[in-house]
Amino acid sequence: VEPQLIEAARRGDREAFDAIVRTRLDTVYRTAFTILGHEADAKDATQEIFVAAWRNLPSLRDLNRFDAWLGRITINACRMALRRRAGVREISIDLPEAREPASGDAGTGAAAADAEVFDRAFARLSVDDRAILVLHHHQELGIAEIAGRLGIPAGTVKSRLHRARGALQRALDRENR
Amino acid sequence: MVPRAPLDDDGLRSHLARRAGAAQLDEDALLATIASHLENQVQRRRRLTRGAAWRPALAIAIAALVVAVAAVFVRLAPITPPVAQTPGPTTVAQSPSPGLTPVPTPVASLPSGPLDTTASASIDGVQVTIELERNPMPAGEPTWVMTTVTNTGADDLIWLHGPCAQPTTVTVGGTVDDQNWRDGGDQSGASLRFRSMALAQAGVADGAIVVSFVPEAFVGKKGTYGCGDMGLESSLAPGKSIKQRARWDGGAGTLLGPPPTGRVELVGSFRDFWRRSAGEPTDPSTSPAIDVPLTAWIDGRVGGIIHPAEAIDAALLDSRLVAILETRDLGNANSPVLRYDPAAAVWEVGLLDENYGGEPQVHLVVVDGHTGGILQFVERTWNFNVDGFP
Repeated sequence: VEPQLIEAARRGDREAFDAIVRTRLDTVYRTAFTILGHEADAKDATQEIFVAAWRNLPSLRDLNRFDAWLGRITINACRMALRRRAGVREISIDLPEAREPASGDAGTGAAAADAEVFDRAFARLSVDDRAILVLHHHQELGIAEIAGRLGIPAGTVKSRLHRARGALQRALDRENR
Repeated sequence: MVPRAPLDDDGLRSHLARRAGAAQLDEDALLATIASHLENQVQRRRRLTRGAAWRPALAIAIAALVVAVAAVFVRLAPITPPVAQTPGPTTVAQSPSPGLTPVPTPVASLPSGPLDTTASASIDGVQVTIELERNPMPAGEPTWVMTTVTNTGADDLIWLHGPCAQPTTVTVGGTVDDQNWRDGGDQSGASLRFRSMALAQAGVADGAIVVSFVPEAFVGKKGTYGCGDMGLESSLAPGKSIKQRARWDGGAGTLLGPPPTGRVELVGSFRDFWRRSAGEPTDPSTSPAIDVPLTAWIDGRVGGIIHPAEAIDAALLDSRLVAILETRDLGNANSPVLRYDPAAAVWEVGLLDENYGGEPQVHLVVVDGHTGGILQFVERTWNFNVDGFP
């Protein structure tokens, strides 16, 4: 996104901000969907992300940090979405928990079963664990870039990645039992 | 079932790509929805009036006004000694310094109708209820919440907790919607490192204004609190409840002053539990959790307090603090102190030298909470038992 567009949007230019939204919509929505695994929640989160970005854009000091800043808003919005969803459900844990229909093009047979197991396991992770796995293993961001995006030290990124991988593997083991 | 190999990086990437690819996006429809949401949304302008945006003439005028106001404030209303529970042998009286202009925070409007004070949720024979003493909650005044965990199941409920004398069942807290702490001005070198550390330590690095309820057993303790990271088990028989109270002290975060008016999605969380019949989960991180949401409002009737980053910037106008910061290895037994004292309406900003093996010493700049003017520079011993942990 060109700095001029961001600067214009920061000064209150809605057309400039609309242009920014168009260039970032797909990435933001897919990131939210990958973390949340739920279409309606991802759409709601995407709307909230851009509204929050518009409202708070004047507070962004360094225009070059726009994408990192937007990434943090995205993860916070996902956190709030999961919190809301967890809060409104009254379910029995005897029932299958967190059926998050992110099956996509999982194919058939073993592949589909694998996908279902993975999605169930992924749904058991905290949003922070999900986010860091998505940033590193899907968006292929490096440790330093994730540290900037999440506002945490690089060492913390490494330990969180390790923890998230461990949690995911344990969740997978549990689903496979 | 045949054991499966651990998921490798390629497998993880493949699954995440599949999830991302499954996202169905009607871009035009979503763009239209976002556009409609953006109608009537007003951008939040930066309110901090320090730095390059200042026009010189206006700056001089404001600075003169701040000096005058601060001088009157000091003459007419002497400041209560800040956290003066321990002797302060080297207090140095200072003339007030020009700081920041008091800037009002954009004010949200309280809803007119009655607000819920109770919320509840249940999972697997466990019911969690939170009951607010009042809603809206006035900033600057304590508000209590009663939390209740009831075992409505047929067998014992087991829950895991730390080694506190009174273990906490439900934690309650949230962040103020659509309101953020304002950023500070330009800093560099040791001053910038100090401000970053102070804000991070206070939990405000991302700007979120946090509201948290402190368990009754810890009410009145200054600074941070907690117990060791140790899992102990307790059980709750069928039909029994545990009731606990927690208190919001009317301030944001840990000693960060009264928050502005705004909505807070409070969440009461109960975690790390299981039913005796089911047995302890092999991985506690995947055990069920109950989050009870309750929309609360803060009535920020106390206004005009400068924000944490602004208070730090104001304190950094004191060359004595800056000189100390430049000679210290920040973070290595040299911890930032950042606190708002509501009784005196002042910020205390400084450096705690833990001085391993000797008496801890603190170097504090006392900043007027309304004007940002420097009121005092205090150097004294620090008593962790009285002053708490920064």
